[in-house]
Amino acid sequence: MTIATRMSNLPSATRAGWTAEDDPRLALVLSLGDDELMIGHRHSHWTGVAPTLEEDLAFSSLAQDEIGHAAIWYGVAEELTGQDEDTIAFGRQPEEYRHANLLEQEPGDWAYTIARQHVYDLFDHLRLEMLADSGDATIAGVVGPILREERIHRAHARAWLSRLSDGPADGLALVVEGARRVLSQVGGLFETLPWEEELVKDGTLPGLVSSLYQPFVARLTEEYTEFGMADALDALDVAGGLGGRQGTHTAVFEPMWDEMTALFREHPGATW
Amino acid sequence: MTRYPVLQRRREDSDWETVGVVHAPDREMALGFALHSFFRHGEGVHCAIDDDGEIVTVTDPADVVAHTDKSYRVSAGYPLGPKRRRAEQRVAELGVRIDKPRPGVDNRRDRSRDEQSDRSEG
Amino acid sequence: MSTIIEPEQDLEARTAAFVEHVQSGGQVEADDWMPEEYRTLAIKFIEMHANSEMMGALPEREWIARAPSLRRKMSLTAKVQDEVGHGHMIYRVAEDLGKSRVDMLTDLMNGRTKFHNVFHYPTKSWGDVAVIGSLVDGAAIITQTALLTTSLAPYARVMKRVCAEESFHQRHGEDLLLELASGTPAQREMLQEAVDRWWVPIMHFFGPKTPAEKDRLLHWRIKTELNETLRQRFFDRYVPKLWDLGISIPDEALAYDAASDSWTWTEPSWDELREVASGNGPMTATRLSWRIWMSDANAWARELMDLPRLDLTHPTPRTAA
Repeated sequence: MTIATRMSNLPSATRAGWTAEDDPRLALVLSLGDDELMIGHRHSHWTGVAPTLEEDLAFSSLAQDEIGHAAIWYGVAEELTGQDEDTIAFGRQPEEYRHANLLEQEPGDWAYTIARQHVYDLFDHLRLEMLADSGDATIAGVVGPILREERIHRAHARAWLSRLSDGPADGLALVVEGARRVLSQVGGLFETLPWEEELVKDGTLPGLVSSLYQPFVARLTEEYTEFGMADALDALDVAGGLGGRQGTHTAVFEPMWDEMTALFREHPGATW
Repeated sequence: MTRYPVLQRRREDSDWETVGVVHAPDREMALGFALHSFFRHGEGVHCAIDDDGEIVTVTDPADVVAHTDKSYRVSAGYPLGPKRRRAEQRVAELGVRIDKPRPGVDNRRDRSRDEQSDRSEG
Repeated sequence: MSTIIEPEQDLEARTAAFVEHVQSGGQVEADDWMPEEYRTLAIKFIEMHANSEMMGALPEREWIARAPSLRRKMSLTAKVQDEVGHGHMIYRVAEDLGKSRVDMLTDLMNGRTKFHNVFHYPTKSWGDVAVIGSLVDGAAIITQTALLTTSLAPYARVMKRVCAEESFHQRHGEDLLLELASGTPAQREMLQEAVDRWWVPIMHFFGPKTPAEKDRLLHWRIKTELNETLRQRFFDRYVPKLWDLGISIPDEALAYDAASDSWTWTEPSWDELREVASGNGPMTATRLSWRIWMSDANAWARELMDLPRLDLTHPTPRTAA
């Protein structure tokens, strides 16, 4: 099996060997949970304020699903760290989160939101399919139900985007614009985690996440062409939005982290 | 924009019953919206919409049910007994219970029934 | 249940027969004949109810982002989602009586129609989340349960569904309350402080002690019980609960009198209620603008869903919220 190009904005192999603190399996599981938590958080913004009543209900379910998936991944992390899922979710410092920076961006308008939902769920679908073949029984074991729910998410995004070209012209234009912004940061989804190669060696990962990039682009191109959104494709940036997997986030993350975690951190040990 | 009545079958052996309506541009979106509008709390095992007299079912019943833990959004997800006892204990420890007069459990009238009979006599 | 009214009777006789029908427990469907006053009052009442569900979502929504556990993040999202769903179902009833959903949402967003006062107030802490989830919701459940026997049959059917979903909300609300009450000193204080701020708005929610003969909604059996009956039921259900948790209520006069089997309490200033109800309460402008902003940016999405765009005239400026 070929190992795809390592993607990172940090020089590779900065340490001779890794320590328990650098547990690559934990880094992977955190990246999975953190991706879901951040996008779930951003999706939940629309509950109560979405463009139509029916869509409010639908998108709210998607938000809940993603947060639930985060809880599942943090449950796996609980086994690795001995810490409970809420401490893992809300008790870390900003630089300890491993989500892709695309997902921390503010929800913006509906066009950006729907474009991002579509792109992320396409990526997540490919990543989950790969994880289904993980040699790690725990990881492989939780993938099934998550993947099943992600199918609904895929259908949701497709339902919106496939109607764009028959709808108002400003709709298609806004969504293409939103998609361009999304694609300019898409690289960060595929960024290699510290010591991810170790996970490939021991069979936890069938391949580096970066190996999903080409299949992702192929699938995206197909779908965007179908939707009349092919214009957005030139914004694809494999080097865009990097840093998240290493814990380096953008300016929007600190206020987001603060809003999300302040109450938890203000009352250590409290239950809610 | 069309209104699509939404139907459910509570169990495998139930009949179709109307549970509400969704507004959607077409039947495919109506089916998607129907699931999110009326099937979030495990209400039924089959979902359909009425498209101008034609009953269109959600083809995959697996789409109608949840796959990961959704206990947080149903009553059964909230077993309150232990928490009530824990609260009682804590309040006793702190000695903060407010012991003012209140209706007795055996002495409660049904207020609505009595108000109505008062009105008809007036 | 269809009407028993004969079409050849004159208006006065028909109206009298209608009143007798509803006052003896009869119901009507949306397409049955109904007196104009009935239709007008019903639309107004039901529209306000739907508006309240929609606007009630906003104070709680602010805490989804800040929820201190994953499970609460999900459960709060689900609860707000249910409230939006209830708004959805209740708007439908008013629509069937003759007012379109787009007109109702537009009127709401432009400040032309009302919603229940409790949803005009800002939230300050997680204590508010617990109080809204238990006490405010508890008050709403009491009024909604009373509507299960409303004379308008489609409204009663929707209330049946709403009340069924509210059972999860009630347990969730009590869960929130119990956690704070049995938590750290800071959590107990958070809860007490929130109760102190929300008590008067909750008293307002039930409305004034309108006597039966002055209550038109009761006359038509759109409402089925007096405001005071429902408020007394609220006291019965929640005051002992709070006292058992060591939480005091900010009304010196609140007391149960066994002889009359009723609670005495301090009537709040109804001026504040009138101001709030006509759109001048704290946070009202913010919340209304919020909804308008959302619509402006995403009008194309409504069109894609084949729904009419909303009228985006901005409200005339009001005094600072």
